[in-house]
Formats: sequence, C-alpha cells, structure tokens
Amino acid sequence: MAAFEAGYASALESHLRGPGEAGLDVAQDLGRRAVREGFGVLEVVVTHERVLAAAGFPREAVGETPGEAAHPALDFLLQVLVAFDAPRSNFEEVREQLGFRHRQVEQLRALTEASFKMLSTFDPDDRLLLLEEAAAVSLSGASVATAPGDQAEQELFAKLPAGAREAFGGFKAGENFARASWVIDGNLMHLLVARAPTPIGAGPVIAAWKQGDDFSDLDRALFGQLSQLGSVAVTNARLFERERDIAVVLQRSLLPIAPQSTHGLELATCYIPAHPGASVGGDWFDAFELPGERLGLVIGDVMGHDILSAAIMGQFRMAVRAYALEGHSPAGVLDRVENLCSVLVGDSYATLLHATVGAGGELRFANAGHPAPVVISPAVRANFLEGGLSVPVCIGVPAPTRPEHCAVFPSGTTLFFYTDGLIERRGSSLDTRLAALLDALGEAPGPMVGHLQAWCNEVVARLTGEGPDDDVCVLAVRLAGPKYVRGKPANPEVSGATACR
Amino acid sequence: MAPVPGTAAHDEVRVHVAGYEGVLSARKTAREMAVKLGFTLADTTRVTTAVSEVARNIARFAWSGVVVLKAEHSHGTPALTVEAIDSGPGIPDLNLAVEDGHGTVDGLGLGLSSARQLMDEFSVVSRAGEGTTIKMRKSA
Repeated sequence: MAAFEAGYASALESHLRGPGEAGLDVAQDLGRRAVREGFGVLEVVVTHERVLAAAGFPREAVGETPGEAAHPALDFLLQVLVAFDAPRSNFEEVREQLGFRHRQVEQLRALTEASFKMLSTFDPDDRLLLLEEAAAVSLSGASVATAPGDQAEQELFAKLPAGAREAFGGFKAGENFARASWVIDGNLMHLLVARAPTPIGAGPVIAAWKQGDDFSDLDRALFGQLSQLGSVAVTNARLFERERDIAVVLQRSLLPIAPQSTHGLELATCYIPAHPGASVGGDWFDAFELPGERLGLVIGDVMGHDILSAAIMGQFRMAVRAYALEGHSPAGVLDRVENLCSVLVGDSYATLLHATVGAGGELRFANAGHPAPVVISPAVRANFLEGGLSVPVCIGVPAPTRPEHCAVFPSGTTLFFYTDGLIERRGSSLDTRLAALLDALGEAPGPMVGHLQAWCNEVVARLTGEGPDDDVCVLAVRLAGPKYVRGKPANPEVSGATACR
Repeated sequence: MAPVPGTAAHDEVRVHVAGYEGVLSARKTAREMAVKLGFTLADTTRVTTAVSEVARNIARFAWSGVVVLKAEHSHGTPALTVEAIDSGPGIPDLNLAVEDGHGTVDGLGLGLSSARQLMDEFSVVSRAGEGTTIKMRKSA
C-alpha cells in the first residue's frame, strides 16, 4: 500500500502541476494497478485525499467547490477509479453467462435422463411418448409431437399448429432435417422437424415448435440428438418385439391347444411355466382322439425347465402322439419313444405317463417314472393310482418290458394327472406335499359337472400359492356321464383295477 | 455549444495515431467532444478511457492508424461514435482479446475488454494481415 501511495502521490502531484492527458493516462494505469493489487475503491479515495492534504495545492487545482465541475484532481481520481468500473459491468455479464450455462446444463441433463427413461420400456409407442416428454423439457418448454412408421409425415402434419404445414412443406429429397418460421395472428412461430430413418425401415418423425425467439444453436443440436435417440430407441424396441413374437409363436406351437371335451369326457388343463419370460417349459400335456371312442392322454416332464427343455418336450410330444395314433398300447408307445432317445433328447430324460380312456370309463396307462395320477370319486374321495410304473424314458438303462395298469371307473369319476411342480416345495417333505394334494383333491364337493376347469384352477392355485418353483402342468378328465356307460356299472372300488386286454 | 434537440448535427474529428503521442491526442479529442456533447464527468472519463484503449491498441500492435470520432445528435440524444482503423497484423484471437484481462501489452492500459465494457456498443472486425477495425458508441 505504501508503494502504491508513493506512486499515486508522485503521479497526482505531477498531473496537478501541469494537467493533461499524459497525467491522466498514468492515472488510468494506477487504477489498473489498484485492482490488480487488490485495493478497493475506499482505499483509493483515502489515498487520494491523503495525498491532496499533504501536498497543499492551490484551490483551483483541487476543487474545493462541491459539484461536478471538472478540475484536475477530480479528473485524476475518476481516471483511476474507471478501472473499478469496467470489472463491475463485466460481473453482470459473467452472471448472465452463468445463468445461460446453467440452462444449457439443464437441457443436457434432460437429454441424458430421457435416454435412461426410454430404456425402461420395450414398447416402441411408449418410447416415442417418452421421447416427446424429454424433448419438451430439454428444448425449454417447446411443444413437441412425434409420429411413428411409414406414414409418419402425414400423421405428424395433423399434430402441427396452424400455418406449420405450409411453412414446412415437407422434407427435401435426401434431407432428414428442416426448419421453418412463419407468422400467424401476429405471432412469430418457429419449427424444427427431423425424421430418423432406422436400419429396419422408416423411422419416427419428430417436430418441435415455439412462439417468439427462435431455437438456439444448442436447441437445434439437442433436437438432432433427440431424433437420433428416437431412431435407435424405436429400432431396438421393434427388433425386440419381432424377436419376442417369433419366440412366442414357436413356444406356443410346442403345446397343444387346450382340448375340447369329447365323447362325453370333460377335460381341463392348467399350464404354468416357471421360467420367467418363457411361455413354455419342459412339462407338457396332450390329449387326442383315438379310434374306438377313446381318448389318448399324455402328461410328461423333460428334465430342466428352460427353453431347451421346452424344445425337447415338443419332440417328445409329437413322438408319443404319432405312436399312439398308429394304434400301439400305452406301454408299446413308451417302448418306441425309448428307441428314439438318441435322436430326441441328447443327454436329457423325461418322466412320462400315457393313458387311454374309453367312453365306458375304461382306463389303460403306462407310467415311465411319473408321479402317480389321482382318481377322485364321490365314493372314495381321492386316491393315487400306483400301478403301471416303470423307469423314466431316456435314462440310458435298457428298460424291461414296461407294465401297464388297467381299470374301469364309474361315471362321474375324475382322473387327475400332474407334474411334480405341483407337489414340490422347498422346505416341505414330499410326503407332506402328497398328503396335501390328496386333501385338496378329495375335498367335497369335488368337481361339478361342467365346472372341471374352474375346479382345476382352484386346486392348482391352492397348491402353488404365490407361484411355483418349477413348471406346473395339470390334465384332468372327468369320465363319461351315464349315457356313455355301457352294460352294468363298473366296480366302484377305489382302484377300479381290471386285467388289461 | 449546447446540442439542438431533434436535429442531426455531425461533428467529425480524425486523429492520426502513431505512437504514444497519438494515444494522448485521441484521449484529448475524446474528452473534449464528450464534454461538448454534455456527457457527465463519469461518462466523459469512461469514453476517454475507452478511446485511449483502442488508440493504444493501434500504437502497440499496428504502429499507426486512425481514430475517427463523431459527435451525433439523434432525436435529441447526443452520442459519440468511435472508429479505430489500422492496417496492422490483425488480432489472432478476437474472443481472447476482448475477454477480461487480455488484450494488453506489458501490463499497460486496461485492454480492449474494458473498452467494450465502458461503451454502449462495441464491435471488432479483424483479419490476419489486413488490419483491425473497432467500432464503439456511447450515448450521453
């Protein structure tokens, strides 16, 4: 401060002795020096007064008269202080710049958020809606519209404000971006339009418009980014949709359409794949008509419950059906399926039960390692049908001749086939679960005529609770009504067992 | 002489700038014209400072040039327009030159940025090897 004051005194004295631009030019530099060295306006004014008081200059030089009349000492002081004036106006500019930058950062943040948000859905239309929202935010409240697909341009026209269509007029050949301005009702309007072609065909078209000031450079850059983002988002969503549709069609082709009741036999099915995102697993059922007013029934379970198991299951299903339709007995069908193992399943295996049911209540089945079916009748409630059991198919052990179980049941009896997903629960023993199954199936009043499916759904819901750990597949058949029972009623015993013929 | 409201009177002075003396001449002319136009003492100091900066810019970088000062009365509002023209090397980075803290040589003067901030209007056109033209304006 002392050095500054000394310099100030020398310059001011020199100026007052011979006022002129040269002295003021030095004052200008003194001001800059004061700013650089961190002195404030107050220090400068105090220094000025102190130097003046010490020097004893004539009245006309130091201006004792109040007012704005110029005099050399005041000229000098103002010239020093002007250095403080410039940074002050600069401060306002910087603040304005900061506000501008802040708005730009907000715009960019909105763009980033938009891209994340769009990933939250796989639906192309939803993605476009999210894109619209994002564009409106990142373009500082401009109005935004999008249109998807081949007719996007025409669709978009319908959404634009009055005058926009005429001002825009359509994209020029080979161009994907356009801007237009027009006046309507005395208001200046501005429009940005972009189409975003995708590798798989026409992409969405997006438009933004606003009144008053035109879009800034950043607005236009962001708009370009948004349209590209829209192209990528919609492309990916469409590709995903296409793949998913293929997968669903293929998966559904593996399962039979739920069979209709036939020959007086009422059928019900239930299918719950455990694998998330898949609509089939390794479990399956099948039901098909056989000669002699019989129905062929199948329930099976390929090891595993992923999409590969589902693919193997589809092959098993067709193999069983084909051999059954050739007229082979249930055991004969299983034997033939066993011969196909090397081409069917690789190193997988399956449990499989194949039954035939006649219109007169005749049941014949062979069971390759599958959980025993349950017979439900008013007389005995619910009981397992244990017979006809052999090893699973394709376990690599040469099977002896597979046994069959035959029985005749009275009208009104229900046979219940299921896969182990219905009875297996972590933390619960198999015996407990089997007992729970019999309890659920045997509970009065049992399946009512015409309501087998509803009863079946209820049983499955009760046993699986919040969701199965494994695939669940159920096939229930209610045996023929009285008009289909030929001859005298069959033995109403639990097993209904009879010799297979 | 007081300006006559509503009339357009032009009073133009050309100051040749070659070296430090030219800077002082430009200052002097600017101050006299500002006072004559009725600028306040503070604005007179601002205008004089800005003119000294553009003149100093000529003296330092181009060696010689001209500062044209025009007194105007447009619809009763007095204004001073300043045009500083040189045919020197040009300003390589204009943004840098008019940013605060730049545009000075040897720590002298306040730089072009202060000229920009002290005047109402300020523009620079500069081409490498062809020279620089600075236009400024301030109303009283």
